[in-house]
Amino acid sequence: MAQSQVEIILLKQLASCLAMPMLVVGAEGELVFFNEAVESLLGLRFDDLGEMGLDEWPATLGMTDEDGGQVSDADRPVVAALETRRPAHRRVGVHGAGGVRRELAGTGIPLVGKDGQLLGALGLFWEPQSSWGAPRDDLGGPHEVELILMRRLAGYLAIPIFMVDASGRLLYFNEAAEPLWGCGLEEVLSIAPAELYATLEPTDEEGSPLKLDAHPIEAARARREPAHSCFSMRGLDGVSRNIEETAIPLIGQSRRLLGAVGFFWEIDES
Amino acid sequence: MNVTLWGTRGSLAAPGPETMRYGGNTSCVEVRAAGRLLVLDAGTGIRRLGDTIERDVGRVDVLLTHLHMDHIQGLGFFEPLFWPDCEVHVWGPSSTTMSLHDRLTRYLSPPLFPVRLRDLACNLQLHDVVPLRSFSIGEVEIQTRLVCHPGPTVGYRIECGGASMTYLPDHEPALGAEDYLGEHDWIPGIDLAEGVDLLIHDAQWSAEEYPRYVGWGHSSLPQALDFAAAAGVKKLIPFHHDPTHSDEMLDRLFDEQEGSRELPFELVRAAEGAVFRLPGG
Repeated sequence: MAQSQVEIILLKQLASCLAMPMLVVGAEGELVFFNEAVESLLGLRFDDLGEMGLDEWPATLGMTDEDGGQVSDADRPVVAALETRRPAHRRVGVHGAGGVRRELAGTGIPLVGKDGQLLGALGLFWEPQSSWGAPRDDLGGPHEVELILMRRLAGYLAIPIFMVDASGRLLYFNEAAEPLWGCGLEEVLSIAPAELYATLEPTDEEGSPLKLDAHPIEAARARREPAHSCFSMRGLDGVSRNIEETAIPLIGQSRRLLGAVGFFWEIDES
Repeated sequence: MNVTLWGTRGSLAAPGPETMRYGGNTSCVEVRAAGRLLVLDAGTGIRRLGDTIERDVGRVDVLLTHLHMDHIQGLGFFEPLFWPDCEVHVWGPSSTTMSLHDRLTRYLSPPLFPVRLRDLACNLQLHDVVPLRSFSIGEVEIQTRLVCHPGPTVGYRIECGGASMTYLPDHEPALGAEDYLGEHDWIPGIDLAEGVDLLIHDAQWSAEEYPRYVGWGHSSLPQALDFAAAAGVKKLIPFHHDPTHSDEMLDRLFDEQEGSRELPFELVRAAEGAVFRLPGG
């Protein structure tokens, strides 16, 4: 099986497991999949539409800008993410189920394989749901299948990714993230979360200490919505790096918070 | 606890002379414990099970792992559904946006099926297991978890009076992982199967076939054996046989595995009709 096929299989199965509206596009912007939450939002079934080219799916899915007007491909979050290989965010409009127009926060996250090949992008539409529940009381022990699939997908990607559970405890970061941390995963897991955060000395763009609750992954976990910011972080190797992070909460099939995942890019100021 | 296999085949019923021994009916397992009757999945095997159920049973609990056709195709032909004096509780997974009722109705309604849920004579009660992690039916304790398979899919662990079994008929714990057994807490479904007397686990493919079917949601026989070993089970029944696997082919696949490694559990080449009496229960 071609390597890129495994990533797409994992991505589709993960998206199917999650309660957040997610769509997947390929490297050319073609629509590859959208999950049931998108189906419910739009009143359209993916299986009825199938895969579609970029010239077709935005109109078919009823996508507009936040004012209901046309939006250029370059301004669509997933397309912008593909072109810049950076996350993209903007307000979008959709003509939803029953003809109701809705404004949503849209986020596009590019996906790059370990060989550097652009695999596609993940698109999320954000509209917090009151039915999304709190995490389970009995955290710990074997992980939920959604977290397992996210971890396996992260293992195939060249984007630094790390994942926390519903309580904010670090669960995993991938090989691509090791240079940012300055160490391997096993070393970090043994450090208590508060001590770890203090060691990293994150600062915001003004150079002020970045409080934990302002850190994107913590904000995504606590507020159950995507979060994005740029900051500096010192890895355990003592090297400071400028980072751009987009984080999303993970709301599982049970509609409970399972954790959050952060996607990192190192900002090269040269 | 008595466990009876009424259907061991996956994907599509496969009757015929070449499948007479292991059987051609799709997934269905009967569990009797502490005076309760549980039916695991409603593949085509449920029809023959229904013919054997005592008329005064009073209550039957059907536990669906998921709603793929091979696991629900027999439901509309399950006799107790047509008994006005019978309570039939159907447990199964909802999806992220649809209730179990709405999902089941897609099948049990025209044009796919002439009888609607609301037309059934029994006292039908539906239960969504996704928000639950455990529930009980009388003295029978059940745990449920979402597992690795396309679409909302659960496994069940059933315990009663010291006996335990786990049912994972459609499960691909190795999806996308070269060493999926390396870290215990990151193995899908492992806590359901830990130390049980009897594990019934997906083993649809041979080792040679699996690479062609990555992501289809099923395991190879060697993967099922590896999972059972990691879970420390006492007995494993490989299940959900591919419809193209004849009795002779299954014999050969089992012979190959038993000949190539020492297993820390008993591998049972269970066929349709096999009965297991678990101690306790």
